[in-house]
Amino acid sequence: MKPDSFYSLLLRLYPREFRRRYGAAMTETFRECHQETNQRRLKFWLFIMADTSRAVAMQYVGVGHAALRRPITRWVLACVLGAMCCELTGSALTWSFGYFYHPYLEGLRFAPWVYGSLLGAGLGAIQRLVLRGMSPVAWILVSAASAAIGLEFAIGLAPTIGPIGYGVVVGAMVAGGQWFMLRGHIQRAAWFVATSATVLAAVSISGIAAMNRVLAGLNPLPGTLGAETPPDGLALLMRGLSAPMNGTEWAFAVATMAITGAVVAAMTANHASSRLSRTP
Amino acid sequence: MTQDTLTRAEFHVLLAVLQSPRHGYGIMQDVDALTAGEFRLGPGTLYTAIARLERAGLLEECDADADRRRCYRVTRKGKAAARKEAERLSVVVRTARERGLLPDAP
Repeated sequence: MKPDSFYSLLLRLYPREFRRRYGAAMTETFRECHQETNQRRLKFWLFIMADTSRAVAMQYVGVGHAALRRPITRWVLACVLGAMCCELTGSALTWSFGYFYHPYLEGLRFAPWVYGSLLGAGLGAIQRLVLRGMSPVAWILVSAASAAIGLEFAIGLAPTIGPIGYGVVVGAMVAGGQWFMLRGHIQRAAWFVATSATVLAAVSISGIAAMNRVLAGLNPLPGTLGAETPPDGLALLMRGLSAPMNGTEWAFAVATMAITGAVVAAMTANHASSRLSRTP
Repeated sequence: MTQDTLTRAEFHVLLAVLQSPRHGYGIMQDVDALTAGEFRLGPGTLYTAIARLERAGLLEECDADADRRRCYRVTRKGKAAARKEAERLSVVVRTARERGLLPDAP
C-alpha cells in the first residue's frame, strides 16, 4: 500500500466535517513531509501515528464540547441522568432501610404514590436543569404529583392491565402532567404525551425487572407484578434478576435505565426543544 | 476558541504566517526552524490548530500559491492575539529571570 493511500485511511478516523474541509490539504502536506523527510521510515511513521492519535482525540473532544452546547444533547443527558439517579437513589434508600431495620417495622410498606413522587421529583429536578423559563418548583411538583397519581392508579389497575398497561398508565400520567406545563410552548403537544407515555412504559417495565432485586426493599410491586406472576415476555428477564445481584446485573439494570432514559429524551426532545435553554 | 490563551501549536502557527502567507507544509517547516527542531507539528496537529484559529477569526485562507496549495495568512485579530500571547510569555520569562531560573539577558 502506498503511503498516501495509508494516510487517506488514517484520515477516516477524523470527524467527517473536519475531513471534508481539510482532508485534501492534509494529504498534500503529508505527501510533502514524506518526500522530504530524512528520518528513518519507522521513526517517521511513529511520528505520524502519534500525531494522528493526538489530533483525532482533540477533534472528538471538540465535537463533544460542541454537542454539549446543543439543547437536544443536554435534554437527552438530563433524561438519562434523571432515570439513573432515580434508580440509584431508590437503591440507596433500600440499603438504608435494610441497615436500620427493626422488628417493629416488620411488614411496613410505603404507599405506591411515595415511589411515584420520588420518581417524578427526581426526573423533574434533573430535567428542569435544562429547561428555560420554567418555574423550578412548579415543574418538579407537577412531575412528582403526576408520577405519584400515575403510580397509585397503575398499581391498582396492574392485576387487570398487566405490566405494559401499568407502564402506559405511569407514562401517560407523567407526560400528561408535564404537557400541562409545556402546553402553549410546544408544537404537536398530543405527540409529546403519546411518545412520552410509550417510552415511559418501557422505562417502567424495565424498572420493574430491575426492582425485583435492586429495589427489593422498596418494591411496591410484589404480588401485583412481582416475580410470582411474571408475564411471559418478561419471564426470562426476571428469572435472570431473581438471583442475588452481581456486577453484571447491576450494570444491566443501570444501563437499561440509561438507555430507556435516552430514548424518552430522544422521542420527546423535538417537542420540548422550544423550551430548552440555549446556554449552559 | 473558548480559552483566552493560545495553545503552543496555535501560537507557532500564527508566528509562522505573521510576515507572509504560507501553505501547510511551509508552516511546518517554519515552526521546525523557529524551534530548532524542538517542536514539530504533524499534519493532524497543524490542521487542528488551523481549524481552531480559522473558527476564531485569527487566521484566514488566501489565494493558492503557484503550486495550487492552500495558503493561510494572519488576520488583524490574529496579530493582536499573537501579540497578547507574546507579552504574556515575556512576563513569564521575566519572572523566571528574577527568580534565578534563567540567566540574565545579555
